[in-house]
Amino acid sequence: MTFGWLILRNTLRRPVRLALTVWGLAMVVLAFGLIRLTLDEWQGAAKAASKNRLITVHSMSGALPLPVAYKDRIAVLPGVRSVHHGVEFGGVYKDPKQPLASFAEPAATLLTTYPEILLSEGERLAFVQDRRGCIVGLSLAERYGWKLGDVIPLTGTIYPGQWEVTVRGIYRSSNVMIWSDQELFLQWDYLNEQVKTTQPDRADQVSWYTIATEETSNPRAVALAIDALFANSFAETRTELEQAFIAGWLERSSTLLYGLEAVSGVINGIALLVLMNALAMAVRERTREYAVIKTLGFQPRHFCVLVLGESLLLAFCGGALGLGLLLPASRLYAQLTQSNGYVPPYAVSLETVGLCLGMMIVVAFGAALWPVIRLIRMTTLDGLRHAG
Amino acid sequence: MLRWGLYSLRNLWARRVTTALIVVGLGLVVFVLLAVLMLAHGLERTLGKTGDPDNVIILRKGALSEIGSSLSREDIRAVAAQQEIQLSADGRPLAVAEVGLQLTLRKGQGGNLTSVTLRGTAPEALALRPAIRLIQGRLWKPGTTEIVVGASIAKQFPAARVDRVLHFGNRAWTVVGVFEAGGSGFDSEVWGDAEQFLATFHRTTFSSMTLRLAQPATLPAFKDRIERDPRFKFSVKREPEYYEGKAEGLAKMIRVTGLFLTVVFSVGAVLGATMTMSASVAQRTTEIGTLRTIGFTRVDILQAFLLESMALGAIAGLLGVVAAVGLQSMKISTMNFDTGTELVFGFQLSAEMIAIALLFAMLMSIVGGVIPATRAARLVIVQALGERTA
Repeated sequence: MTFGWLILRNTLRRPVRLALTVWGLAMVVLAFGLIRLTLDEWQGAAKAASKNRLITVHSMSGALPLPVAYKDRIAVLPGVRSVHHGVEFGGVYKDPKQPLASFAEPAATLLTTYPEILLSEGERLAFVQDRRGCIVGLSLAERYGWKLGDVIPLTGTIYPGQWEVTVRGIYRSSNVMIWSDQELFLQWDYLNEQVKTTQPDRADQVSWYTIATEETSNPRAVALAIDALFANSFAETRTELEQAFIAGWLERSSTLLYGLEAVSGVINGIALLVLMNALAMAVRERTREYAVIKTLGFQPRHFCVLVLGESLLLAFCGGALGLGLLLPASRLYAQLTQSNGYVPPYAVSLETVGLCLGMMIVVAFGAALWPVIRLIRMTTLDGLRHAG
Repeated sequence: MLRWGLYSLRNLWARRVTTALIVVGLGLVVFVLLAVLMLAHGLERTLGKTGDPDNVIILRKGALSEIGSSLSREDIRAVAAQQEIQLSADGRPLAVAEVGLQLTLRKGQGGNLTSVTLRGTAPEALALRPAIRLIQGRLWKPGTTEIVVGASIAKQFPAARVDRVLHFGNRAWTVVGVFEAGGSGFDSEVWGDAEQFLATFHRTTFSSMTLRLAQPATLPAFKDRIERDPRFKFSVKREPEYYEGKAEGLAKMIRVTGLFLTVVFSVGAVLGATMTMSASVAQRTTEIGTLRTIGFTRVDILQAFLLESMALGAIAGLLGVVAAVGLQSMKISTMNFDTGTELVFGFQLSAEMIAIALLFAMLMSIVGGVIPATRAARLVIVQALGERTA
């Protein structure tokens, strides 16, 4: 009888307990995995953000507009490849409680600044040429059943009034972590033209600039140059690398993320307790057997292998089952946690899988520790005397 | 019956390591459940306490928040002239036009950037909201660039303590006082002179008007008349009701995420409890057989094991509640998605939550115990006595 065989037989000895332990661990791994997905969803954008893009906003508050006239002044700075700008549109389609994630931006620079937007050449041209055109993300289009050429009526929340835009393109995202495919983009020129007649004091204003820098330039130097250009003007700017900008927003919610991480720590604790309990019971039940094999000459290292092997086997089965459940559960979780019609595209990454399994290995070692010590310390006599 | 209770409790004591492990496991689940509920409740309480229930706030119709609302000076004058408004001692209407803005500030030295709510108002705002009191310094002088800050802001931002100077909009703003608003949303705000803020932020319109009615009972009639008046496009709300709705998104996110996760890993803990109880039954098979032989019924056995499992749940529940009580002194400072600005709030426990937590703990332990207890009750005496425990 080999060691592996002995471990397997030991593990399988009580099928009901085995099933309960494995399922218990699986649920804990599942919860842990969901937390990792949530954190990835939050933090992924900052990691994946481009290093060659800068974001410029009003220095006093991101809620304040900047004049569109800044565009030409930024464009001539050395190291600047192109300047793009935009505003949030916040149009309501059907559900007044959930405005669409919608933005008004110049079509031509939108597509060159963000290579993350994947669009066919025909759609690209159609969008750029139609002042009242818009492009929508694939997931958003699927949700509302939009097709090319459909006219979408929108009610403005930020820009009051009724708006009609035509779907000229349905884009895919090259990386949903950084560029959502649940958004709608309409032409800034169309918006600005309308605003000029309805709310003239809000015309020619943008919320942010996105500056693409030359590969060869130093983006940080460009950022400083931009802010220096508008220092002491009536609308000063704050320019950051896209990455830093996203990370900064993330940081504002960091307390909640720390909270989530604390919960994932608690979850590890629960997994540890479940496994420890299962092992402790198994070892206690088999005390007499262990005493017998001790008399046969089994050494402490053998007990280590026996108990740890069982612990790892249980943890691995639990982990595998939990990961198997993660995909369907993340779909349900995404539906529950959607906000403003945005369904988080939780993606199970290799890193998540690795983390879940890594956690189970740590838990397996932690759980095996005490039973092993007890077995090693136990004298054969006590063990044989043990009343199960 | 007492004997039975003792029997169950002593069984738990006899296997105290296992008992402790399972109690801690279930206790952790209860603790996380409570933490989630307390946080969401604390958030809502903080905003629900913002504003005085006797006050009325007027915004532009359709505006979701103060940021999106605008009231012109003519609007302000027209509202202030309404006869239902209470008059102050010197005969002026108790009504304040305010402008709500956001300001990007750095948290501490080299800290992160964040947005705080800036409220341009008038000193009468304090007469309107008696719950607010100055705890340090003095109020700003109208017409100057002096500001006062809420207690939470003073704590979070070293740059916003009394006598410090903030720079924004090419002007220097001196902090002259700190006010305390009973842990409400106002504590996370910076207040100053409305006209100065309007000029600095290049705005011409106010965003809201807050006023007090001479007779609070006249609110429905007042609301109806103002909202129907074709000259205005206003919406009229009780002040706390308006602020309460301003963290719906964040509170929902905390609840949904937290509760979903809690439910998932509580299943793990329940299965752990089932496993322990099953082992306990398996170990005591001979004992159960003996008990049955001397005349105890199946129902007695079922009760004994269920009781044992419920005792586990009860201890775990109490443990979780005790730990959660400790959370109450903690404060959290984070961005409120609904407004985009920083908000400080705490964990708030209520009797209702304690009841929910204890019920949940009992439910977990009953679900975990019912299968093993049934198995114990259904044992056949002869087999039970004959079986050797491994």
